[in-house]
Amino acid sequence: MTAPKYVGLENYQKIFSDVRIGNVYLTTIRLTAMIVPCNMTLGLALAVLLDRKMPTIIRNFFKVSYFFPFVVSGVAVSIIWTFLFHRDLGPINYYLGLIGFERIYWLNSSTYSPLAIVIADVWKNVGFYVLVFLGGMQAISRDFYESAEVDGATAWQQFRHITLPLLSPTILFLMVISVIGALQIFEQPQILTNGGPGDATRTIVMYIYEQGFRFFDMGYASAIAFTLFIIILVLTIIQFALSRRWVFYS
Amino acid sequence: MNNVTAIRTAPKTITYQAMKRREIFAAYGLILPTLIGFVVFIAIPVVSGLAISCMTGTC
Repeated sequence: MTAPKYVGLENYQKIFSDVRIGNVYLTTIRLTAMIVPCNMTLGLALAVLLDRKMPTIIRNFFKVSYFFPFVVSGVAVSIIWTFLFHRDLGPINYYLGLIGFERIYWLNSSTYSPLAIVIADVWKNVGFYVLVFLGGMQAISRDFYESAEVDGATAWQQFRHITLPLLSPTILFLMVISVIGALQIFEQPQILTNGGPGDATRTIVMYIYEQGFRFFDMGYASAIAFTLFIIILVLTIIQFALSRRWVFYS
Repeated sequence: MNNVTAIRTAPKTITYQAMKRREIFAAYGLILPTLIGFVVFIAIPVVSGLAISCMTGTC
């Protein structure tokens, strides 16, 4: 590393001439577009199932089971997923082979490697979504459901017209932190694919890491990090602005 | 005055037993298998991690 030298906005100009950064941002956005809906819908679905009448001990068992991966080290889990997704030795390909599927290049194909990252991320984080959704649902008064039942509302109608509107502040909260988390994804792609094949799974935080700690270009890495901060800020402001239309604070 | 016949659809009725049967089917036929299925999905890397640790002699 050389001694720091003031260069003004030179690092920001460099971003516009960098041929890789556009693709890296596109990959990050693509992963975010897959991770956020998967986590949100799966988390909500499991929370709806857990919100039904059942013995407390069983509900607690499922809650603990789902939340457990969230407290496990992301790096350790990603290493295990690397083994599971291995083309020749991985159990996933073995069992897919037993039911007649061909071996999938989970970590070496530009088609399947983003999917592998999404699966590993959902495995780790969905428990958090389940718990937060469940907390939001249990705060909804049972009176609404009882009166809807008397009026003949079906389970779907109760979900659509009672649960969803009253859960909207929780959905907004989870959506905001989910988008922020997905844009900052690092561990899973770093361990599973190391950004490959090519730059197919290289996310923006991996690129920042690469610039800063492999090429030791701290100034450029900081400039990219600042663009990420601006993007996250803008997206969060947009989400809060749009929330006025669909979030109900009763 | 013309004779006017009011046509009303009969209200849907369901016996208590049928309702209970439906609830039990939903609970044990759909919900529990889904919840357990996801526990299995969660357990796969955990069990694999344990297996790997055994193979390398650290278990």
